[in-house]
Amino acid sequence: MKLIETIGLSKCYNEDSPASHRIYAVSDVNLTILKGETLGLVGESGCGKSTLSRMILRLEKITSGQVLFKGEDITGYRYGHMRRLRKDIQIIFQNSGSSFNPHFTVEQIITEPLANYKKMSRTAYREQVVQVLEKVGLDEEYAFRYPSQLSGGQRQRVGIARALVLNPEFVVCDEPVSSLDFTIRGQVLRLLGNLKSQLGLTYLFISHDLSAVKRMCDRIAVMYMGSIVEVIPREAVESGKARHPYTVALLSAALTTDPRKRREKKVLLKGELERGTASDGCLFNNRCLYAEPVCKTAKPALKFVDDHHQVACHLFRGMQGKGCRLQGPDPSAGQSA
Amino acid sequence: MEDQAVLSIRDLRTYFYDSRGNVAVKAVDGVDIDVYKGRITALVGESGCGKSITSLSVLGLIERPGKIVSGQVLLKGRDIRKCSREEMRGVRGREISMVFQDPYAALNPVMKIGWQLSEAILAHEKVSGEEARERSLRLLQKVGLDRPEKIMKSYTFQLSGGMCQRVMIAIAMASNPSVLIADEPTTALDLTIQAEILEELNRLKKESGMGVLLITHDLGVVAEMADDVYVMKAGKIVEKGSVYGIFENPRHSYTKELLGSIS
Repeated sequence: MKLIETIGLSKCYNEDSPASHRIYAVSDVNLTILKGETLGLVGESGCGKSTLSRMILRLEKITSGQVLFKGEDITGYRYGHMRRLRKDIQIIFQNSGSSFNPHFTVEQIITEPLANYKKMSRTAYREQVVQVLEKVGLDEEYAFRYPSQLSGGQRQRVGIARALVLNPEFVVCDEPVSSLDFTIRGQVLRLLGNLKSQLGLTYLFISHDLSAVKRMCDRIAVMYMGSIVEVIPREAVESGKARHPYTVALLSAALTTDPRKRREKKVLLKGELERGTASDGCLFNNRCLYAEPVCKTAKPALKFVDDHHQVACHLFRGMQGKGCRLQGPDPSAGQSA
Repeated sequence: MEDQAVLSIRDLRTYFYDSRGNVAVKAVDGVDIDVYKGRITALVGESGCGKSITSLSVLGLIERPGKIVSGQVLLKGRDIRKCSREEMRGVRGREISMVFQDPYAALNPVMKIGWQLSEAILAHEKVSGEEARERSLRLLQKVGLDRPEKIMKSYTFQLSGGMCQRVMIAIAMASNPSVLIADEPTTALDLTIQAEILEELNRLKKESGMGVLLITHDLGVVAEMADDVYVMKAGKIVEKGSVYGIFENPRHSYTKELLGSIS
């Protein structure tokens, strides 16, 4: 079942400017998130990942396009409607510390969303808080602490507890582990995984680290300069079937964990992200190693390569040879195009 | 091999004190590290283990309530802890340079890049402003920046994080230091840019033959870059060895735990 669907979702921050000067942070994104899956959203900083997720949660004004939740268009929802909906869609922030009121105790932080929706006795609130703290692996005693008395990992757990206390269906995890130390990172990822299967959650998991999301996600959407360039199932990433040159470059930028597998040449991208350069062609063409004349003149659409795998690249037929060589000796795999 | 180390840290202890003058934290507690010419030595550990304090101690940049209690910092055999303030100014930036984690915080936001680069050159050498400018241009090219002329005239906010980090490296390389301390040089950067910066560091190390002390919490960076590895925990070195030794045959339980957390 489709839980979330976006249709032609766009965000422009300078709508008042003349058309030629408009910069689209997110442009024309069509994405579906199925119930019970984890969809990864990957891309460099500034590519529009957070803006897209905030639009899905209606935290950001939508310039054009629609967001559907369980098939219902929520784009035009107003206060009362939206308030009821917020119970079901929640978010875990990158840096939970700065999303808490420092003068609130953990108990107050977690009670706040509860009190917003349910009138209960104090003891009932307390019970709920203790329950949700237990779920995220924190003792009851933490309820009386202030955020400043917690470590980064514990704060992130409280952030998760706050998002889950209303039993949402859909949770956006916006870089939930990137501010954490690598030992804690593993623990928090495992916790998120366990909670998902226990509570039947659906995640949109945002990260700039493709290798990290590989573990967590069922499908991965790769974003570049406001557009989705590839949607790829996890198994396809693992078997080296990534087709878009940008995805391949992102994968190759991940660091090895085996010093004997070091490569001299790690960089498969030309230059850096250039902002504000509107062009008719493929947004990636000036950094792409394989760009051909057609890439400068026409924008590629997101097309299905097979059932669950979409790519937006003019060259993806040609890429099979080139892309696969970069990925490993698997040029014959996935000839479905 | 032992006597070829460009930088040797011997039994370094840096403590922090509370208001009554009692030792509050032993941030660095008896650390020995050797950095060799043309090699990358990684110092790896969790945040708060004392990695950065170690590097700041080497440069004599510890301020109250912290204090270097004991130990030697031998630069080519000379103990630079005995240097006067003036002498240390000649060591910092000239013989030992540093690249910091957050380039936006380390660079001056209201000065053009060209000025900041020239300043680094003029601080150590008696050259004309014109020559300093010429050399700045060449340095920017050397760290892989395409349009040095344009970058010289830019402010930090006009540059991306990766470009700023390259500028930082250019400033650090200004007087061909024998040791470069890179404190989490890629932590604030995107993954693709991280790969580029690491490649750049590797290339510069090969060209100039300097010794690099790479401070990081990321074992991926260590696996990709380091020759020698020191694992630090709570102010102490718990294990040292070659990168292959550490990754393939870790001895200390803490090292094993660290390696377990990445796979």
